[in-house]
Amino acid sequence: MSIHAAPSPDGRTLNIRIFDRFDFNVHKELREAYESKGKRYGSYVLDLRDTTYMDSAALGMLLQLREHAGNNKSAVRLRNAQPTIKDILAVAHFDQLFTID
Amino acid sequence: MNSAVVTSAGPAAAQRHPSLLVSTRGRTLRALVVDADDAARHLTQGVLMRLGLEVVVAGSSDDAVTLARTERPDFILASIDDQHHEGFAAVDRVRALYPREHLPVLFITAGRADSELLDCHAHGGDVIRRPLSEALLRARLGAALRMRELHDTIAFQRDQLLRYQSNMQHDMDVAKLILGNFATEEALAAPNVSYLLRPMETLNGDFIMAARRPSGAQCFILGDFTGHGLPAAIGVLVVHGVFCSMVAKGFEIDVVAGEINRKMYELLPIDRFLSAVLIDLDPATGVLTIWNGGLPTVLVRAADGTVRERVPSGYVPLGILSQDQFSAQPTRINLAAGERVLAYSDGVIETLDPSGELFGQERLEACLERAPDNAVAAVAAALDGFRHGEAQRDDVSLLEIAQVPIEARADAVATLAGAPRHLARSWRLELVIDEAIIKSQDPITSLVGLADTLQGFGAHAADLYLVISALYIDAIDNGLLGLGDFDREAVGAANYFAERQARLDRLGAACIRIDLDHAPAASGGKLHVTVAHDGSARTVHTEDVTMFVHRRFRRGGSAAEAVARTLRRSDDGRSVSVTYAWQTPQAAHAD
Repeated sequence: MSIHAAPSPDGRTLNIRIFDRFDFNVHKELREAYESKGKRYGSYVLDLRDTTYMDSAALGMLLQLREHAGNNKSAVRLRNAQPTIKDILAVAHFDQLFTID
Repeated sequence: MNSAVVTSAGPAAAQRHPSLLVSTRGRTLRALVVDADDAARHLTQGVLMRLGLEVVVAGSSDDAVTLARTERPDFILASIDDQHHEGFAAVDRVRALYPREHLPVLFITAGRADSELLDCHAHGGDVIRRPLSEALLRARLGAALRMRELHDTIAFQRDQLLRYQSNMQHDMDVAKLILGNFATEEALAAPNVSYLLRPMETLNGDFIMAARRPSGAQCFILGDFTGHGLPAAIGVLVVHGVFCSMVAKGFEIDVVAGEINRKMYELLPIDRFLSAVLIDLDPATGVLTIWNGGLPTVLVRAADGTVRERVPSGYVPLGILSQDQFSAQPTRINLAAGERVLAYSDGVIETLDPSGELFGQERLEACLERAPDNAVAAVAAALDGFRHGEAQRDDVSLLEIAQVPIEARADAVATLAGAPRHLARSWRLELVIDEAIIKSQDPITSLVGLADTLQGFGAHAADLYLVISALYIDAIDNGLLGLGDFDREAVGAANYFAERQARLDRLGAACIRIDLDHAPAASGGKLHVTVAHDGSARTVHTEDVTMFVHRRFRRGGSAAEAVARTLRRSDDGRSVSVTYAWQTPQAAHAD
């Protein structure tokens, strides 16, 4: 399991943690995590504290999640990214598309 | 006795394995019995027939081989009780006939020695002892056949995968051939350009393309698609179409970037995008224009190899934002002779050494300082050394373009080879635009395109573009923006363009009228071009237009001068006209 997803206590937010490598291999798992219950949450939080690597396929997956969440900058938050991951997000200027804490 | 379903484990197991003793190859199972002893052979044959099998029998290994050829048994029962161990020989020889098949074998023996058992396993078979127990034989056969079924399934899947792989590879090779043609294009083969494309797979996500604008400026795109393989290749084709046609029509790279963004946004799925650098270098003026969306920092190097400017990614990659959210404000830098610009994909700085350390920006810049002239080869060698045998994990691509003074360029003098496509015709076009269009678009490209459609100017279209552009830009810069007193040489191109952009942003109500009036003339035609504006009435100097057209023509000054001699001013200099006369190549030759 490289992904752990759980709704927040109030049920409005889906918290997702991604462990180790965030690349095409977690594509299916991530998609299932946010699509499975057929429920659309008000917001999605990706906790990247345990994410050590991220490639452009992962950026593509973030865009898919953003679309799922309604293409709204505040609907998807990226949290606790390590410096190398932060760099990748900065080069792609994803701060224009996501809320990055 | 004719029941095909036989198991030793009762009805439940029978339901789980209803075809236990029926060949998966679609016929009754056929056993080959090898036994030199006639009585023993008959006994074995009888037991197998009671299990519902077809049985063929052989008394020697020679007979066994002959029968195996004609009868193709599904498994072998071989006795090793005879003196010569005929059973071992028979099994080895029959197996050698069909090396790719899994042929289950049961050796029959009356012996009790462990060494005998080991010999049987060494010949690739299981062992069953005499006297034969029907139940035990059933169980052993069942196990052996399940094994064979598994083997058949795996072999079938393996062959299918090999077939898929071979088809896929073929498709990839064809796609690679098509994409490979991009690299042989003339513009990328220019002497001041060097590049490296090192893909991970047959088809890479990275690509480099080049094209020339009518003005002679060299335009490049270095891109990195999400993912590899066919989806990326399809994306590359989309980009190629847009890039080459728009650059050839004279569009600026920020407009080209916008159009690629629009196409990709409309055509490709949301998770596919393109990180790219677009570069425009005008060798006549040394003005370098860069747009970087999502790729690592572009480096501008002085002639001694040191990095003197950096252009980091300033935008979201192409294909993510809708057209109304997309903006592209390129960076302009003046390049002196011998200076150069280097763009590269993230595979360069993200190359890993065996301990997992990144190559990084610092190592790259250090490497560049040591190699003022041959950066691409030097970086490629440095990456190989750094990887130290570690596998390449991403596409690696590098592109460097040097500013070479115009006199030194072998391909700088182009000839006017293309003849006009039709005889001269009479027509007139008038275009009136206001500040909204003046601020946001380049109407000259489309206007010349339309004129070329009407007349078919051939190679003259590029010259016309330059002449009309010269007058149009002059009307904006001098007439509407009052930049005539702003010395471009003194302040540098970058400052000039920054000031120009600032004034353009502040520009209030304005109007420019362009009038093209074409008529046939001796052995060709004449196009009267008038550009008028309603600005603060600055006069265009004949020399300014000559200079401008001359600098851009690079075909000798005669065409520019001929055009400039016809220059007429009216309305206090707010309206300027020139006449562009053209001849068919035959007529020009006769002169």
